[in-house]
Amino acid sequence: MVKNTILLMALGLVGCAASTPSKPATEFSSIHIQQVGTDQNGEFCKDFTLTNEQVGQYFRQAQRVTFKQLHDQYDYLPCFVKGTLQRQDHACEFSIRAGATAELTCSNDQQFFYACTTCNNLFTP
Amino acid sequence: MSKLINGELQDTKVTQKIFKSLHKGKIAKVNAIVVHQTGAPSAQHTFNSYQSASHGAHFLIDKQGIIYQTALTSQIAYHVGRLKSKCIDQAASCSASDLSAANAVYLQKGISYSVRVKNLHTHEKAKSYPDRYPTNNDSVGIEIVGNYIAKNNAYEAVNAKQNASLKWLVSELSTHLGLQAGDVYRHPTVSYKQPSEASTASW
Repeated sequence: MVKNTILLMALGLVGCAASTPSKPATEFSSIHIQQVGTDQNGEFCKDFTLTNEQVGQYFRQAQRVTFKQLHDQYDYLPCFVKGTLQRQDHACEFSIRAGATAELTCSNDQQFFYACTTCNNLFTP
Repeated sequence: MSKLINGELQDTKVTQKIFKSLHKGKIAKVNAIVVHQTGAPSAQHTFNSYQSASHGAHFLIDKQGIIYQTALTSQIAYHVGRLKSKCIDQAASCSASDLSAANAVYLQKGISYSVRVKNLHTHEKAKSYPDRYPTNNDSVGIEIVGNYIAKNNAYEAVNAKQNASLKWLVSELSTHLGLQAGDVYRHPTVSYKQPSEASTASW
């Protein structure tokens, strides 16, 4: 009986731990896309676009990387969406590119770089 | 006049600082030079990264114009990345059927943009130089120290001392390796990189 009670309590604790989010949901908020564009002519970027919700999804899934990692390991593609968001109480400008990479420049003069290896669904026209 | 002996450029203007970790196998023939910028504020930042990173170029020019050789020119170094299509960029350089084949890969629907450029790289790599852009396997890389400023969306400008050293280095390497003026490229020309990288470099 005591054994069963301990087991049930342990299961309850595991259940609570599993439902705790690893990242605060409000880390990125107030997302507004201001521009969808391309650095080059041609058909490649013709169908590229993201919604505000997809931008939020991207930043929730993406990993922070250094500029060297971004440059050496990822492709800087010509199609982009640019806009503004709030990151931890700072106003930021973002740019997300079709290679699943992003740059964030925030009001406290901080620069952040991101890449996402699990976001292919967002970047498949 | 400098000497190029066993991949080492010997001259009083060149400081040898070889990182063997950058060597990825023997180069059969050098067909081109690719000019880069480091995206870091000092030479030391890049040297530190070369201790552990597998990506790097053969030469580095610091802010004072000092030239360091960081890998032997007889060795492959990983400095290019995925190839763009020369055929798509310069349609006059290839046949209509080659252009059509490259575009079929580049514009394929139903797969992500990253997979498209990965597939295009495989398609291009099968060609011979100069029908394609240079790869890691047939080019020498020159890094110029220069940081990337995200708020300006650009690399900082290459300074006069750096450009003077670059001009000398490109000239010496071209002579030793039998390269023409058209065999020297900026990194974003050949691969998918930020367009301002090395845009202010001149040689």
